[in-house]
Amino acid sequence: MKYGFTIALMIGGSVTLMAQKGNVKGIIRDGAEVLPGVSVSLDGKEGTTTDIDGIFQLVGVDTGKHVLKITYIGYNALEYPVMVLQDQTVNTADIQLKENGHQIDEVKIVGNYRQGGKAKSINMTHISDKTLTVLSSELISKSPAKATALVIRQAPGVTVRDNKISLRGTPAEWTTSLLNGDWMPTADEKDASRVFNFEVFPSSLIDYIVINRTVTPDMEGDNIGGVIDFISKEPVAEKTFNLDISSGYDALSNKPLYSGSFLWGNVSHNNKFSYTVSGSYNGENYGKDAPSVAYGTNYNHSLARLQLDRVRGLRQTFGLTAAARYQFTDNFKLDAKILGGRMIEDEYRNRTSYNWSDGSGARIRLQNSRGIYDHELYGGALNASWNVSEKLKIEGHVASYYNRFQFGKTPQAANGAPNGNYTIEYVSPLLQYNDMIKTNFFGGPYDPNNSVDPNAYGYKMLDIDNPYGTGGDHYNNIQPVYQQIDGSGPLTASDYYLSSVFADMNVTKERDPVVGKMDITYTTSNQLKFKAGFKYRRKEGERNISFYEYRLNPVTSPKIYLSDQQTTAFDPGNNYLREWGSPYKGTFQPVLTKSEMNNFIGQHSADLVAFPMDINNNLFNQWLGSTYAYTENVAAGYLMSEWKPSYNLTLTGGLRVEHTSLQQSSDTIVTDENAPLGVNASPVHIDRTYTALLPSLNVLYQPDLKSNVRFAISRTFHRPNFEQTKPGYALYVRDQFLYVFGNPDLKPTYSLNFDLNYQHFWGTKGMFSAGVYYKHVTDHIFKTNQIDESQSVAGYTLKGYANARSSYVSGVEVLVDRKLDFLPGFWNGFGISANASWSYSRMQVPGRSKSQPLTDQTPLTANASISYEKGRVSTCVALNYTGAFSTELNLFSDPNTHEVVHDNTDYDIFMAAQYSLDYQFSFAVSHHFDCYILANNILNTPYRTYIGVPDRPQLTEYYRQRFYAGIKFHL
Amino acid sequence: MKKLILATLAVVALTTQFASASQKKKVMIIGMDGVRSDALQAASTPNIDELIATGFYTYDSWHLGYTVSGPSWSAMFTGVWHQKNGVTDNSYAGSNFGQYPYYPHRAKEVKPNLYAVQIVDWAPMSTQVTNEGFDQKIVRTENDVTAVANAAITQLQNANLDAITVYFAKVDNMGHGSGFSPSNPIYMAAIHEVDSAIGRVMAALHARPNYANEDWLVLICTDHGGVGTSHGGNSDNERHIWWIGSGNNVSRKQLVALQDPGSYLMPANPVNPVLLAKTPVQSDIAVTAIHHLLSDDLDSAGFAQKRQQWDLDGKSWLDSLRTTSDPVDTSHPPTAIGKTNLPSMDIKVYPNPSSGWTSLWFDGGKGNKEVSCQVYDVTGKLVLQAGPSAMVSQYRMNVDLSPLPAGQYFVRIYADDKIATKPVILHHQ
Repeated sequence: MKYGFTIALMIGGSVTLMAQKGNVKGIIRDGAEVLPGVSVSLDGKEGTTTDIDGIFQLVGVDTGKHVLKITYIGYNALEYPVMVLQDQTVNTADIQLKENGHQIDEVKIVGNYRQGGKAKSINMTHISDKTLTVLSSELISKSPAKATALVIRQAPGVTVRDNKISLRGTPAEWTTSLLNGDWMPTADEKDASRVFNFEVFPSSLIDYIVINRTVTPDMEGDNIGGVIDFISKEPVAEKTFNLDISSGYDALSNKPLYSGSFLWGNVSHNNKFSYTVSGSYNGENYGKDAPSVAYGTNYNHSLARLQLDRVRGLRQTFGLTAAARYQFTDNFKLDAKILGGRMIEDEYRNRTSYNWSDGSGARIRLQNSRGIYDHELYGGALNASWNVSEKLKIEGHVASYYNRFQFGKTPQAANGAPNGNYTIEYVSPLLQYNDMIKTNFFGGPYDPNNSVDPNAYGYKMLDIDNPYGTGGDHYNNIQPVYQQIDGSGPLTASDYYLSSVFADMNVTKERDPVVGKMDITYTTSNQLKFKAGFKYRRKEGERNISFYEYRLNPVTSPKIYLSDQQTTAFDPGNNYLREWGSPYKGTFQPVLTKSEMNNFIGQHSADLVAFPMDINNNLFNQWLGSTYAYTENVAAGYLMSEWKPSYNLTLTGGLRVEHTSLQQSSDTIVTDENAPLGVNASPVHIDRTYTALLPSLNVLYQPDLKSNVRFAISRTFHRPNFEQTKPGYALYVRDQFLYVFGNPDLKPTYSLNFDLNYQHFWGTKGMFSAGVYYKHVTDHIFKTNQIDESQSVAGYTLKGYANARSSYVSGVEVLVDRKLDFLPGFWNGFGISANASWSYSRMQVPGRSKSQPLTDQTPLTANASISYEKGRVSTCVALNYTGAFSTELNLFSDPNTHEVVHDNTDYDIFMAAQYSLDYQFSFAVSHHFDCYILANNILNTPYRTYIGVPDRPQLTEYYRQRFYAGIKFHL
Repeated sequence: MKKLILATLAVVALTTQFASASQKKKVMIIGMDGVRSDALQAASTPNIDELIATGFYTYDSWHLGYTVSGPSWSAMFTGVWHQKNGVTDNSYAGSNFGQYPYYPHRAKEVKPNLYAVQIVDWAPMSTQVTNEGFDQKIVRTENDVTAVANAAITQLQNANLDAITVYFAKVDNMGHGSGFSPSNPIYMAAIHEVDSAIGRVMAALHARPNYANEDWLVLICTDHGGVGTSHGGNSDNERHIWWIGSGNNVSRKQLVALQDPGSYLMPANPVNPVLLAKTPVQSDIAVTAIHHLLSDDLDSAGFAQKRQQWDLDGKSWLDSLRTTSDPVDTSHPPTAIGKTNLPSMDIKVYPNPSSGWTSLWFDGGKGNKEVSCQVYDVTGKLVLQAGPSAMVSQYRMNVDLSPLPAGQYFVRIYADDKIATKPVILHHQ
């Protein structure tokens, strides 16, 4: 309160001082389009820039004649005379700028939507008070990709993994993705991170994207990597109708793709009301060939399982956005946006699992699964913008969003069974694997004379882990060798019999019922602006993971043989893992037909007894911690100023305070002799509050109109996600055999960030930028992967979360984006764009003697593209690369010595390097029609994780290529 | 008052010793899933060691079928192998418990009023088994050793209890998680944890108000061993297992069988009926238990008739358990697969304090070297001597301290050229 009073005094004081002067304001446009980021200076001295609505305002101008010098990259400069009268505001109304080199008659590809050209984005990048990149809608529509995540991958320093976006190769959790300035609630099947998964939201609904590398106090403080703001379709400036219809082919599933989107928008006659409605539908058949290897123990790299997964599915995405704006007066407007997205994946999975180590003896397990993955997101926001006076502007924002994941209903959920991802599993009779080598307990050479460990252990090892160096299976050709334990002949479908039927259940919801924000800007002079505001966000979420199992009826219990079911081939085209030379060709047993799978439970209801995961189930404790709920209230306030001590120097700085209050509950297990199993669930609750003080300063120095030097220093932070802070018993991830223990004492990560950046602009033809950064990070949150005896769970991997001691990330970023218009004739249609972000990071891990690179931090990410645009043709080929990085550390400690067994990274989990190549070609048939083709994932490089070294893979996923051909129509 | 109680206890003890025929016959079977023989010997298991030191034990029990929990426990509790009971895996698909039920069901056919209870923490043993004759089937959450022990202790307070199965899954799960191996500290710690629970259960058994008038046969057994992180195969590490018999009327001895009797699943190593008749195997557990429960009602011939009528595969070791005349066979070392991870000549003494028989665990080096043991009292006076004799085991030597008065002693072992000394406390029960 005290400070508020002081500010009010300052504001009041300055108002009285300004009494003898006048003001100037106006809107700058190109046709109907408003131009944000236009430099407007008074007689080439003090100046301002237009805001997102193209509006500029100069205050405290001496009375008399002046000339407004208006400059905009890519446009002809303009001088505009004004006469300023005392205590009056000169309204220049619309000032029209013309693009330089504008060719009127040429048929140009304008992209899907005309709004938001490249010039706009370059100018916004140029004049911003912080280091940012704007991806224009033009660029988005020309991107050789449809998915939002793939589109943004083209942007400098951007990495995309699992549909999550990270900047500068930093951990994905550090990069905040916003939609229309709001943090979307998240609700994923497995991933509990706060990072929004844009899969549910197609790029055709995105207008433009702002990528912030440095922050100002009016932005969310929860970001260490940066902030990416996706702006959904804005109300149009003129009547607009766009249509985009395409069809394609997925090379793995060998099935079609369909995609369509539209945008309709108009403006009322009095120009006060404008709106846009856009919608999209994508129907994609997809496939995944995914071999995975599970390794045995913390003491050696023996193989426990080889799982060969073949996944086929249909992913349907529906998206709808609507935006409307009503300009009540020149000084007051309301904006509303609503959005909704739904993604339904209907997926069939067949798995052949060779289990060298199996609780019920060495076997082969055959799984037939079907699940409907149902994601839903909706919400809306209302913005009010009120220019109270020439100097005072108030903006208000309220929003509410909802996000949910659940498994949809399949015919398997018969007779009152719950919705879930159902698996029908067959097993072979017991096997003797004959491909084991004798090692000692630690995977070293077996030595019968070793006094400590004279025992021989039979383990299946990869070639690289063979202690005798006598070869073995390479990771891309692991061949199990086995025979039936009783000496019977080779296995056929008549040997496999039903082992169990089970369903994974998952309902995850998160909503932000109330997001409220208010920003007050006060312009004391053209050199000094103050801004203050607050934000409140409430978040409510819950996650309910459970399991539903059928066991054979013990009274009837006949064996149900695979050969008695309707089956079909596992790999009809004989091209499973063609990438590895089809090493498993001819080895697969048949799989259940879809109808057999769907009707299985109904048909065998007499043989199956249902075991819900309730208090009567003796695995009850496994799932106990998999249900949790939370509410988080965040209240933030800030005060900042923008000061221009000279025309080419801008300092923006201030302080943001974010107060977080978290209430979270889950269950733990307690003894209860009255309960059927002697144990019961007992709720545990945590209540945590913390306050983050986040000062920041951005300095912009413009040695000339074409160059920027930027320096920023800021403190930002990162909140742990709700899985990470979960109290109570572990969350159980069944299909990965792991327990995830939350750590309610986990601290938020803080980072002190330094950024130095040089930008040079070649008009609209491109830019060059180079920068360095350094982040001093405390309490980095990393995932551990260890066995903890005290938790009384066994046979599984235990994961947990911990804070690292002080860590740092430093990096260099370079970006070149240039249209090669200086070349002659045909060649001047070419353009290149390349960027790279190198980083060096170290973190000190508790229990390890040496520091190591930060988890989830890639050392190099690079993008390069070559484009050609001339006449009716526009084409682009884009390459992306992300270097390998560690994701989880094996900090298994010896139960006797309590020391970490693996001091090096040989047992850590890594994400392999990934590169991808995409291609786009588009041809303008007329002013109204473009046709195009897209080719995605041309190199078909797999998504891979590995243990220690790349030749010891954990999960490998191949998706193969995807092709689209389509037409676009625009008015 | 105190003296009177002591005197009464002494009378009770005498009665226990000599009046077994009138005592009510009762059985407790304690199952430990997935415990390798060598791991059991190397682990810190003072309670089991005491049972071994005072009772009947064998490291020469063999598995003749699927070395997987479902089939193994089914063989142990039905007294017949998988060909009859139909259980070949953990789904229990194809089970034939109607024709070949568990041991309590069989015992109740003769004595319908027996009261039998099962406590397990691996649910299929409860949900997938029918017709087993238990009056109560208690399930605890998997791996909760304490909960299983607590439930057993509660049941043991029921004076009418006649038969109880207590089962612990944890050791097996630990083996799957990180390795069935004496070198794996996690696996070894789990064995230790279950041993402590067994100690509590045994204490509760001994504390039964009418214990003196009861003749308990306690059988402790495992279902299979393990190799690496798995089991289910036909290796000796999986098939060559152990069991222990204990009770007031059980004599102290080791049962030795020199040869593998074969397996129903090994075409190259078929079951040899001659060897099988002399070798302890899993199906013998139920038959021995039934025999004990019915030994007041059926004479040998009567039991033999029942065994034939019920088509049981197993044989009863009850007579051998009760016979004290058999000498401890020291010609054959216990079947450990290799040496333990004990440092050279670091001896462990279990139980300590001891009430008489105590086991000395040590690593005396390789080969059949000579070993001798000397026991000194606190004044340094030699009070007991054993050996020198050929080292019968690289691991263990059992010494009977019971002739000595209660107090503190020092046990010294000479094995080959190594020497080690450890204090031991003796108190008589």
